[in-house]
This record gives sequence, structure tokens and C-alpha cells, in this order.
Amino acid sequence: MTTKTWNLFWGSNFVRAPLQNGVGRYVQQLQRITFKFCKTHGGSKGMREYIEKELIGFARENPGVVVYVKPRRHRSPCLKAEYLNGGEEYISTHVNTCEDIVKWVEYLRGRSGYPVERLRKYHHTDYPSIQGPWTPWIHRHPGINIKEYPCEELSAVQPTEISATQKLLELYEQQKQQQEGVGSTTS
Amino acid sequence: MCGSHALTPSEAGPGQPCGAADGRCIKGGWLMAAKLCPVPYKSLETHGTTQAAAAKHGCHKEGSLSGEGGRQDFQECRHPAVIMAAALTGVRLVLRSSCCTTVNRAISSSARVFGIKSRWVAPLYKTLKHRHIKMKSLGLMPVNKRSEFIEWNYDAELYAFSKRLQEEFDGDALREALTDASYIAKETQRQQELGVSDPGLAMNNNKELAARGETVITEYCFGYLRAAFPLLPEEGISALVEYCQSEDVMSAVGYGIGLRDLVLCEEHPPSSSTMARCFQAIVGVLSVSSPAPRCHAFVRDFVVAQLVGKDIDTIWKVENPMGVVADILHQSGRGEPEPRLIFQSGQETIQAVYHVGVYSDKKFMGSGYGETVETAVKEAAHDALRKLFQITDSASPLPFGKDADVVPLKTEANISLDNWSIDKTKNIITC
Repeated sequence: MTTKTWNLFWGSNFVRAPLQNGVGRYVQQLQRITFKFCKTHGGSKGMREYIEKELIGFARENPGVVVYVKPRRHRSPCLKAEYLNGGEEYISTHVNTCEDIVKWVEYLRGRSGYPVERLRKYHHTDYPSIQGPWTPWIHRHPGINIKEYPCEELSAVQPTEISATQKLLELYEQQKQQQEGVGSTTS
Repeated sequence: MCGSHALTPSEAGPGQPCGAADGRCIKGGWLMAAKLCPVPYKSLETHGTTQAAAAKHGCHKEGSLSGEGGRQDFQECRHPAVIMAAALTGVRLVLRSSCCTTVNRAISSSARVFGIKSRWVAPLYKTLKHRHIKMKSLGLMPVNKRSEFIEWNYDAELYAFSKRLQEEFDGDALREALTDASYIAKETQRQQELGVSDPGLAMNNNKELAARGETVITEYCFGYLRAAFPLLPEEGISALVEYCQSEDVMSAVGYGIGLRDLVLCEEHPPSSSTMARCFQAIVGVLSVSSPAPRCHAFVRDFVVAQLVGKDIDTIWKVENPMGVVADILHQSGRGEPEPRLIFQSGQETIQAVYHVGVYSDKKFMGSGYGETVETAVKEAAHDALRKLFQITDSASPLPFGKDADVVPLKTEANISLDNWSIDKTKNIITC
């Protein structure tokens, strides 16, 4: 999937937490979950197994989540999760095994309720800098304000590379040193 | 029925079929039409027979039915020995034949009878969904209350509510906190309309609890913010507390902890004023049923936490910052504030930028940037105030959790803006 397609349908966002969650205390955002299944149909076998084996443990470990179990005759099973910020999630668990449903429930349990979006970055801050915004005069010496212009010192070219003359001189020095070295070893 | 006067489903009523003969009605209309004029059994039988017989005689392969010649063959292939079996398999064959390329009106209409969704169904549902979304966005669609659904247990919801927030609420008081006055009035009226002369609703509304909660929130916010911003003038503290107590923040917190479905009120979804009152009542219940530190921690974690990430300058706006700086310096016995240009660039262009510093007795107090000198001076004065009040971006964050537990609440007011001077702040210990 290309980025364009993703943005067209899913959009993107920064990492965010509803209601400053976690600043003070952490509040689990999943508020209720409904298990819908059929008591007789084969498609709900995994769901029935989950309800028999795992559901009590889940409810005990998550007292802040209201668990509803809703049998519906001859309809395929599903999970419906509702979150504190009004978000809802529907997961079809048709012919899923008990282990699959355990994973789906875990997925729903940890969600924030916001839609799944591409994250632009994995971190976010409201204060990109505590030192203030960048300006063209950051790290410039204020002494240049009281200079008298034209100023030869400030007007001079500040070379970033060595000139050809300097390079030739360096080569000459190197050659000279080598010759001296050769002369000393032979003598 | 549909030809001259097209009935809408609501006009027709649930029990009556709305005309669907021309295919312009909703799905329910089609089913009704099918019941009213079912396809004659004989036509089914005939059709099944012809196909089955044709298959038996090897003169027809499925999917290759086309042209007059094929029909001629069907007529000839009719054989009494296969009629019974063909009648039994007729339905299946009719369904299968609808996939054939040949247009056959009898077949397609029978297919509709047996629930085959042809190419009009998807566009219809698309249109209906589009209308649904549009009406929802216009606010014309009624929003169902969550409590009207079959899977709803109010006791379980209240239990989970307290567990979710890690608090212990008094059960009856919590119910009272979630009951709005409008709900009781509506229920009383409804019962009177039904003929109950004395409804006897033993319910209290949440006004008293909300008032109590409001007091608790105000007191704690003042104490906490004075301790957290010891150099911020009392006017600034009041502005911050007012922001925390505002209807927007209160209702946002109420929504965020899941009161939306729990609150009993007339309107749905609950209005922000109802929601704000309800949240204050929740704090009121907590102040009754829990010790004070626990209640304070609740207010801090849910109300004061909303200040995190907010700019204090936008909440408490100083109108004339340069005048305030001058007053403070005057109170402190310092020299007049003197704005001086530090740098400038691009004068008389649309990208002009000025960097202005505020000095007093040749001591730097703050600096700011602006596209004109006036705005830069104003920004510089703001910056000087931020530095004096210690509310810069680089100031330490608000204490939460264990850090906040050790900070004692400050009951006496901060220095007011009129009396604020640099000398007075020297004895104040900042945390």
C-alpha cells in the first residue's frame, strides 16, 4: 500500500492520549465489551470456549470493563468494544478459535479508542524547544552592533578552504622535510 | 400503487406494503411485492422441467443458453418422465439460470422472489448510507441512548465506573450525583400523563453535590496552583482556577471519564452544562465518601492535569505588559524599563523582523521578536514578565503523583499584581 492510499483512507496523526491520560493516573479506556455469539452454531465454537474458559478471568482482571454476553440464534459471533472517548470497535470472530479471541480481546483492551492511524512520529511534545524559536541571530555576538562600519575585520573574506598558494607552500614544506629525511639516513 | 402516488414507508405504515412494482422502493417493498403477487407454481415447474430435460438430453449446457434455437429445443425436450424430479429441482435451477447471459424476465423476477440481490441492491444501499451519514451530520438522526440497548446493566456500569477511576464511591450518593433535575421532572410528568397522581419518585438531583464539588475543586486548585506557581500574581492564579472551573473543561473531563452514558437527564447527548454539573457532583460525592487527600488527588489527576501543555499566557492575558513591567520596576525601586533594538533585518519589506530587548538600569530583563518594532516591544515585555513570574517554557513542570503529595497546599493568597515587586519575591521558596 502506498503512502498516498493510506493517507486517503486512514489519515495520519501524532501520538496522543485522551484527557491527558497518564499524567495524573492511568484510566483504562475500554469501558465495555460485548461478546455476541450463537449457542448452537459451529461458527461460535471458539467464542463459546472463550466464554467457558477465559471470560471470568478477563472480567476479574479488568474490573473497570463492563462485560456483556449476548447470545443470538444462528448469527455469527463478534466482539463490540466501546471506549471512553466515544470510539467503537467491531471485530468479527466468525470461526475463530479461543486463542484467536484471546488475542483480539487483548488488542481491544489496550486500545485508546482513537481510530488506527499512521503515526507521523513515535513521540510528540507540545514544546518542541524550551529555549524559544530559532531566529537568524541565534549565537551571533551582539558586539557587532557597536562596530563602526565599514569594518575591515567584519568585511574580510573568511576562507573556508585553503588557497592554491597555501597548498603549494604545504607541498613544498613536505618535500623539503622528506629530502632532509633521506639525506640524514644516507649520511 | 407506486405509479400514481408513491407512498413513503412511514406513510404506508409498518403493516402495509408500499408499492414496489416499479422497483423504486426500499427492500421491504420488494418483499411485500413478492408476497402479494407470487410467481405461479406452473411457471416454475415449466422452467425447471425444460432445463432439466434439456440437460438430460444433452442438448443444453449451462451458461450457453442463447437464441431462439435453444428455446425450440426446450419445447421439444419436454418429457413426462422427468417432470417430477424437475419440479423438485426447479428452484435450484431457477436460481442457477439467473446467472445466464440471456435476459429472461420470468427468471429474473423469480430470482427476486428467492432473494437474489441483483445489481440494483448495492447502489441502493450506497445511497441509503450516504443519506444516513448526511442526516447524521445535520443532526436530523435521533441518537439512541446506550441505556436503551438490551445489553445494559446500570449497576454493573456504576461498579465499573468506580473501579476504572480507582475510587470508592458511596453507591446511593453516586446515583444521586448522576441524576439531573431535568430527569426527575421528566419522569414525574410522564407518570402523571400515564395517570399516576402521586409518582413518589424518591430521587434527589445533583445540585447540592455539584455545589459541594465546585467548592472542593476551587479550594484545591487555588492551594495547588499557588504552591506550584509561587511567584505568579493572584490575578493569574484566579484566571487559571477559573479556566479549570469552566464549563468546557468540566464537561470535557466528564465526557472523558465516561459519564456520557451514565448520567440521567432529559436531553441526549447530555449538554455540556449538565455534564459539567454532573462531574462536579462526582467530586462532591468523593469528598463525602473518601478522605480529603484522596479527593484532592482525584481533582489533581483529572482537573489540574488539563493545564498540562497549555500556555499560561493564553489563559491569563496581560493587556498592557510594558505598563505592568514599569509598575513592577517602580515598586521595586529600579529604573524605568528601556526597550532597545538588538537586531533587525529586512526593514521596509514584508519579511521585516525586529529583535527587541527590555533593559532596566542596563540589566537585561527579556527579549522578544516581531514584524514591527511595537509588537517586538510587547513580546519583549511579555518575556520579561514570564521571567519574573517564573512561568517560562523552561520552568519545571507541574508536580503530579508522588511529587505533588509532598507539596503543601498554600492557603494564603499570592502577591497581587499591584503590590508585586522583585524584593518581595526574595523570601519566597520555589518548589
